[in-house]
Amino acid sequence: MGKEAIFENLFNAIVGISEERVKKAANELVKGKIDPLEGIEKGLSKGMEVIGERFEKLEIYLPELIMAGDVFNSAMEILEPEILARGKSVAKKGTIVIGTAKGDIHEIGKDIVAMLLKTAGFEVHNIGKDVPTPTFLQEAEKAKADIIGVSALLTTTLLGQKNLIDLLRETGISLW
Amino acid sequence: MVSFMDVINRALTGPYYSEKDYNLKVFVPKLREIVQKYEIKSNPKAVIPSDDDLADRVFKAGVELYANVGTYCVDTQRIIQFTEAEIREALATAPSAPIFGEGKEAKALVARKPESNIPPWCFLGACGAAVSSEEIFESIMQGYGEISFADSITAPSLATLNGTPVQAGSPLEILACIKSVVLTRDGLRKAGRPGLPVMNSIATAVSDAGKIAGSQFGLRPSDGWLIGPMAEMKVNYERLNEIAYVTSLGGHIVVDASPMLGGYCGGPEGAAVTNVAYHIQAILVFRGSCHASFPIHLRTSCSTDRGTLWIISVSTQGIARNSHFPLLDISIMGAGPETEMEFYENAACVIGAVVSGSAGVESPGGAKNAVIDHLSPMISKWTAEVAHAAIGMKRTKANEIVNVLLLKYENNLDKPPEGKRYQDCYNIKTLEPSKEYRTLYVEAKKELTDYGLKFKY
Ligand code: B12
Repeated sequence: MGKEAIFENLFNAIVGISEERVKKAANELVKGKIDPLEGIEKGLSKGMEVIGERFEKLEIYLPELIMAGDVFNSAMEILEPEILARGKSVAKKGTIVIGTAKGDIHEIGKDIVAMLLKTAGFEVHNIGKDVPTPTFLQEAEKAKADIIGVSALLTTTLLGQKNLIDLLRETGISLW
Repeated sequence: MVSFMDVINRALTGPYYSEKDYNLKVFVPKLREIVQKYEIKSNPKAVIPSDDDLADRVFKAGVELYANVGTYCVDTQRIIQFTEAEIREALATAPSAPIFGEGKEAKALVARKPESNIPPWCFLGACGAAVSSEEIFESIMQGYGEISFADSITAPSLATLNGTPVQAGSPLEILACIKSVVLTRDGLRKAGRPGLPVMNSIATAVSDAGKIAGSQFGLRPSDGWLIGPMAEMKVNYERLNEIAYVTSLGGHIVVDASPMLGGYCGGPEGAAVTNVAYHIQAILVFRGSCHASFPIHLRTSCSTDRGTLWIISVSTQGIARNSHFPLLDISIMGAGPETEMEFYENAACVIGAVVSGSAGVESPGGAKNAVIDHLSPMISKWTAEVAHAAIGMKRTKANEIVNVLLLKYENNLDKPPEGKRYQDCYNIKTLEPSKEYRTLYVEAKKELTDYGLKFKY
């Protein structure tokens, strides 16, 4: 099978949310010795873009979005060893630590953002909900993050964002 | 009915699932299967449908859904399950006319049927939206108390204490919760209606500790403690802790639940069926005296688009026709104070709820309840006047009116006007609205009269 056809299969497997088809296409790509990075760019990520657009218009819903993200990840599990074997790495757009501020347990929106960032090429560390300010900093240092994302939906937890900025200033740590 | 101790036991011993598996392997597939089985289909033109059979199917589907998916307890990662027989018993023995309030304000909240002539309960106020200071809090509480149609009050949350921002989960939250209750009562006393029930307990409370501690400073068993599940069909220990406290006190629990259009429920059909499941969960797990429902749209965070209005109408009809456990409907609008759109959005939601058989309506803050100080007594008064003007109206007529209103605002739901802060559209000492706001109100009332609403004054 030609590489264009395999890219197309990867794309279609994401848009059709099929783990079986994505795994098959990813294995074919590896067998065909095609550049996996090209497969990600021209197949998987393109597919996620379409998924994102459809979700934006609510032509598909949250479960489909999450499942498409899972399909993406299962293809990555097959492609990543191959990328490493070629002495390359997935070009990362950046590393982000994301969580919901202390006191706040709203996480649906934060999880959507985390998932979309991941499939868009960021290394994402989703550290959950109700996260104390210092934990954001510690996790960011551990992950060598470029970005910290603090989700807060309540007026009384928005303060968590300000607190983190204050703490960053105070400790002199600059992430951006 | 299954006891609360039994509910706790089931939370400790029920089937074990990861949260993600509960979402995607239990809730989502079962809901989709049931929506198909009962042939539930929304219609963007019939936002307020008049199809009794559809409403009954939505109700049956909700019962079947709940019997299959139960309530997920996130702390134990187990499902609290009930049999269909237990659900039937709960529906048959649920509270039917809980009495809220004290003295001359004491009153029974009763369920209504679609197109009923019974006046709807008016649960008026801030719907938990945040205010920036103690002064504004007390002023607006007085404003809400002065609305004659008010049967109960929903208080705001307090964002600062002595000028210091209140951080959720910190000791300041506890202090702010206590202060909120004191200000709530003070405001209502100033309005001359100290007996009015506060039916959202303490909106400032994010934690169980805040809600329980604040309760000691002026809440009464005849008030309502607002306690709600997590989206979708979940509960945690914090909420169960609150339930343990309020049931032991003999207080009322008002169970607010918000199925999300576009979220795990999928489309409007799934959210309508889930709303019925929430109704049953409110009785069994949350030990409620009533259910306060606010379906919202995942992207706009409002309840005033076509899809969400349909969810509210069809599930309210299904519940009203098949359950005596009172259901209140909440509207969350995109637009804020002193905008034309605020009046239209609110009217669409309130008319739909009242003709669909809601026991009553809860008035919202404004600007998605998410912008500080963007709330006003005006819109609460409007909620109540529209609710009373829609008594006895046929669903077909309501559908016509709501469709006209939708055409006026639906294209703006993506970027609704935030409007003004309370202190910028009201005199907070005299409680007078601005001239501009009054004019908008008078014009909106005139316009809706032309559409066929029969305002009481
Ligand atoms: C669902 C919901 C809940 C669920 C949360 C379930 C969960 N697992 O997440 C439950 C039921 C638990 C809940 C509880 C409460 N809630 Co709530 N909740 C909501 C609701 C209805 C929808 C939020 C949502 O998920 N929207 C859908 C997602 C997709 O949108 P989103 O979260 O905005 O996320 C998008 C963007 O914001 C952004 N984003 C989000 N995070 C991040 C992070 C980064 C880094 C970036 C870049 C972007 C980004 O991208 C997302 C995708 O577009 C809102 C209503 C509203 N108007 O938003 C109220 C709301 C936020 N809740 C509110 C309140 C008051 C509460 C409670 C305090 C109620 C109570 N008294 O018990 C509790 C607090 C619990 C706690 N400790 O946090 C208020 C807040 C009022 C205020 N101004 O403070 C709101 C506005 C409802 C209201 N009263 O009108 N809630």
